[in-house]
Amino acid sequence: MVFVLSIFQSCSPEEVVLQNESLTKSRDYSFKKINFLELKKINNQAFIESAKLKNVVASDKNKTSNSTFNYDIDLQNIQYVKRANDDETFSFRIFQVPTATFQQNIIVEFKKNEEPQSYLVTYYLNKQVNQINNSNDFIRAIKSTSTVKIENQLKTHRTTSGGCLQVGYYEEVDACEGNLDTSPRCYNSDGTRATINVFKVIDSACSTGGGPTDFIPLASQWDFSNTSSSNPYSEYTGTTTGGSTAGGETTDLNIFLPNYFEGSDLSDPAVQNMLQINQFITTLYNSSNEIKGVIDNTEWLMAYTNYWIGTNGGLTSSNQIALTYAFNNIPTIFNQYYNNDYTPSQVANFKFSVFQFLLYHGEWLSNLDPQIQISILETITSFEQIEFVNGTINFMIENPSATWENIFHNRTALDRNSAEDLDNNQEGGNDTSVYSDFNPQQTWTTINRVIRTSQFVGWGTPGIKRNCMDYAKAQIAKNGYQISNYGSADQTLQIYDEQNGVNNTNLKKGLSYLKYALSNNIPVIVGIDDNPGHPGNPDKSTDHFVVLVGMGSNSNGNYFQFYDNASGTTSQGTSSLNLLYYNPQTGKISGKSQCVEYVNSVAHDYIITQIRKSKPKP
Amino acid sequence: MKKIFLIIIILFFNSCNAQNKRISEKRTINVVLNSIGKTNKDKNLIAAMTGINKSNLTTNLYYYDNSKNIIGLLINDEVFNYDYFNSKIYYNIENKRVKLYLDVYKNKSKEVLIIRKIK
Repeated sequence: MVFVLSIFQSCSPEEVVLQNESLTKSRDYSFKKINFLELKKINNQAFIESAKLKNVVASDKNKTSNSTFNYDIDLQNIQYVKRANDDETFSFRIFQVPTATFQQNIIVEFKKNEEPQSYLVTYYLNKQVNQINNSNDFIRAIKSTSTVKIENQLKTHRTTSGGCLQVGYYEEVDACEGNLDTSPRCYNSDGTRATINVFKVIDSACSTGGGPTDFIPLASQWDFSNTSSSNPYSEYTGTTTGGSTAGGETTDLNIFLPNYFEGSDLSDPAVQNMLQINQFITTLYNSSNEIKGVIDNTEWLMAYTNYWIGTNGGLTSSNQIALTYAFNNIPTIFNQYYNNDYTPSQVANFKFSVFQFLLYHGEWLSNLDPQIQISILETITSFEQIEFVNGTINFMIENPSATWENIFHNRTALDRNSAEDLDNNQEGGNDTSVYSDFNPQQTWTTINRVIRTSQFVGWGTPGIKRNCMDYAKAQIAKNGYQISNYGSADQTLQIYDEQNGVNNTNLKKGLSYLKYALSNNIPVIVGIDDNPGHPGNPDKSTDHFVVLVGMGSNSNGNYFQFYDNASGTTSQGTSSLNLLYYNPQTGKISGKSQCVEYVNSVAHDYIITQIRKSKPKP
Repeated sequence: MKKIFLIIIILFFNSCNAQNKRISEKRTINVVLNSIGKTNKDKNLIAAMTGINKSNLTTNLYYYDNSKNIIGLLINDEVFNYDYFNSKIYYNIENKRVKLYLDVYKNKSKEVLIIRKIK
């Protein structure tokens, strides 16, 4: 039975929308080849499930990586299919000996509100895998298939039971094949015949559990000398293959695309090197119980390490240093998010970002003074801090004269002249006053300007570097305050950024702090977003800095009053109309500045991005 | 003769191209200043067009033209006479009549004016 499907629209080369024309029932599938890192972005659970499939090292002392788990999967070429109902499938190719006459895929399917399912699919071919030239060639070479549902891929010994799936491929065919239809839909704009992608079923099968009792891929042994190139599964191909090998209708079963041999196999040096890589990783794994504990509890870690080395030049001496540094430090840094109310998934992402950071900067960090290393690593307590430290290190690499102390203790904006303008702001000495939570929903009591207008520090004030942060610092110094260190715990409250919007947890903390500070005549520097993008600030949102000097309420709502150094004119910078209103619905604090010349061409109203706590000047 | 003409044309175009990031013209204008402030111009673009390091593009001087439009011109911090400006102009900038010495950078149809000096 052949169904004619037509493409309605294609938004990108990787996105194909199909429609079953005869049933006028639309079906869409998107499919593309992805790598391991892209997989994490698409589906984090799939990322973790596939990491379990990638057996880098045996966590059991008695097992070695290449005897217990006698296969390896290719994480650089994953076949991804997404259906209209958001069901997703991922096909992983098991590395193969080049002369084998079969190809195996592990397939992981994700359906809404269901546990992920895994299958082992074997394609028996009429020629060797290294003789396959392209997808068409692969499809034509398939003699039969075998499907085994993997009951529990975490178990060393896996049992199989019933499961259904449909394997197939997409083929481009004439949109109006077999008839003389001359309607416009049959032609492209250039007059050529229109084509569509049709999903053709190779095998639609339900495994009834009659297959092998253990999940043991056929090929892909590291020592492939014993692997026969014939069909070693032939004695039990009756794992219920069925369906049609011709083009056919897709059903409610999930669909999978084969992931076939494309030039890399077990004999390739890159693949062979993985054994060496895995041995190195195993050494790290066994180096301490602390490291072992972290690895055993972080499912993706070893697979990602293997992938990272494979895609970053192999086991070079510099990668070995980075890896050793990363593994030695993860037991500490992985737990440094404790002051943040992260959800389990945020914690997992925090750990992943930390690990990536250590891999990328491990070698550079290892060359620093040990005390500086500790200072840098202790700073990494949140996503924002990872961004900040990452940006700082990149800046330090580009500017060898810049030091961690100077940047960490002094600056927010990493502009090129920052390090020249130190104010000896030392870490510590933070305002530790305890203040009560503030309910922002009530009408705000008026707090008049805590700095006199005559003390306004505007743009161009002589003796100060022409930079909004420097003017803001000079402004709060008029009341005897200095800015707290950006990296010190709880001293910077990021309440909004362009990427994620309002952070309600920090907003609540920030509003309470502002109420306390202004009530005690403490002016506070805040970051401002006034244009898309940023000039180099770590939060990727802040464009400008102003000083909050008062708060109150009027007919437009509750507001903070600010001094704006964007102008050198006092009447503009200290205007009583420089107000930023708190929106209780969105949580945004935004408004207009009366520095008319400057705001004339900014993209939007000022929005507070971050609250920088003040501390007394010594 | 044709060859000479061709060479002149080539030299002319090469010369124009080489001038892309150089000052095409120096100009002076007399204005009544209104204020000084943080620049809101695209520093990356102007740095690319003029060759001035963007860290030296921080500040605008503002004045009103004859049509009462506010005009902001960027200062080249690297060469601007700030000492003179701070002592003679900054504290009574509003309505101050000054002469601005400008470097004019031209790139195709665009013209960028940068303040080099003030008197």
